Amino acid sequence: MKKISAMILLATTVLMSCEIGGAEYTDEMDIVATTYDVECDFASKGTYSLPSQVVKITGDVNDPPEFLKPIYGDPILAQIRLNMDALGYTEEPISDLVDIQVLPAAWTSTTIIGGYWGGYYCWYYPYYCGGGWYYPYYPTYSSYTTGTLVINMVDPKQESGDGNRRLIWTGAMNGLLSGSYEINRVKNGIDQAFRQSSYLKTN
Amino acid sequence: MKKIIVIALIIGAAVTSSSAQSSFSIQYSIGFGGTVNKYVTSTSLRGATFEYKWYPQPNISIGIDGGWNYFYERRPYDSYTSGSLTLSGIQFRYAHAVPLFVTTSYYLSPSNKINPFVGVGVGTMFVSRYTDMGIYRISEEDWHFAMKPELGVRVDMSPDMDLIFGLRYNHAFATTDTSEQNYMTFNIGCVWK
Repeated sequence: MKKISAMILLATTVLMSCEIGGAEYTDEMDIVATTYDVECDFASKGTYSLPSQVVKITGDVNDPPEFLKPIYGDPILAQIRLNMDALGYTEEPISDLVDIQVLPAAWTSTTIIGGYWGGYYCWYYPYYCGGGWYYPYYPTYSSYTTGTLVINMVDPKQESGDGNRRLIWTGAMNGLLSGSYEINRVKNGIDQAFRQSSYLKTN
Repeated sequence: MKKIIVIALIIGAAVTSSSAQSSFSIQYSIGFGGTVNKYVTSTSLRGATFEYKWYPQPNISIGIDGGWNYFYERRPYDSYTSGSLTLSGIQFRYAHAVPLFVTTSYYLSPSNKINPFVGVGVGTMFVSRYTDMGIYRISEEDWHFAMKPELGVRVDMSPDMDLIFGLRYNHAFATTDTSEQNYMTFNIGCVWK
């Protein structure tokens, strides 16, 4: 009996080697990616334009554009402006005469994990739900929603191979959204995108 | 892989059909060093090894063992650049290693209380490594042909139990898709005989 108890105790101890780790807070999931056109001479550029609203990507480019509400969009535009000014650029009204057009866009995406959602069960099988009989084994599910902000910079004076204006810089911020809108996380992401793009500095 | 399993089964059948003694062992395993520990730089404090051995002679054992070691590291917020792309965030790195071996060991002093031993093992090792950054995961996993040298000591505590301390070097050879993986473990546990 002692032998079996010792085995169980030791086995239990070593079996505690289950996986631990990973993010504990939503802001630990924030990432910032930037990329740029290596042939672009940013030092020779001096002016930029910024729209008055942030486009909200909804999935279909043929639909009329939607925009973030000003309470969300304005702080984003202000933070971009702050960083562009700090790099030495001068803001001008929107036109094709500026050196850089800054185009911010945002979207959210929700992913449901764990098979089908239990809430649809009655839709699948109304016979059970209508008869007062409750199906006891609803599969559990969870979901997460991510928010993405992409800031593109294009050179309106040049065209890319596909006929669009030449894309010279992209900054993308992606993070897991919590219940409340956390503008500081977005601002930090914008700051980081510019911080890790020191080549953007102009003369 | 198939050859190893067949050889293991033949050896197992031959040994168990004789009157050889046997033992079973459970060991706590600490993983460190090697390529696995370069990918995840933290020492693994989560691991285990299980062994079953037969003794055709008092100073020789033939056995099978299996185990796993789990490495985890949270890398602080940092930027990683490749070409014109820079990615910033917190990285969570994980590595799981599951070695499975057919083993043989030689015991230097089987009749003494302190019984040092050396051993080797040949088999396979499953290694899974992945990095989480944001909601994205970069992963790599494969089964490798593997071997291990081992040295250690058994301490006779009672007629039916020993303590065991061992140092192993687990080496998984490169496959067509993944590079070689290796790490060391320090094991401590009990042997029931």
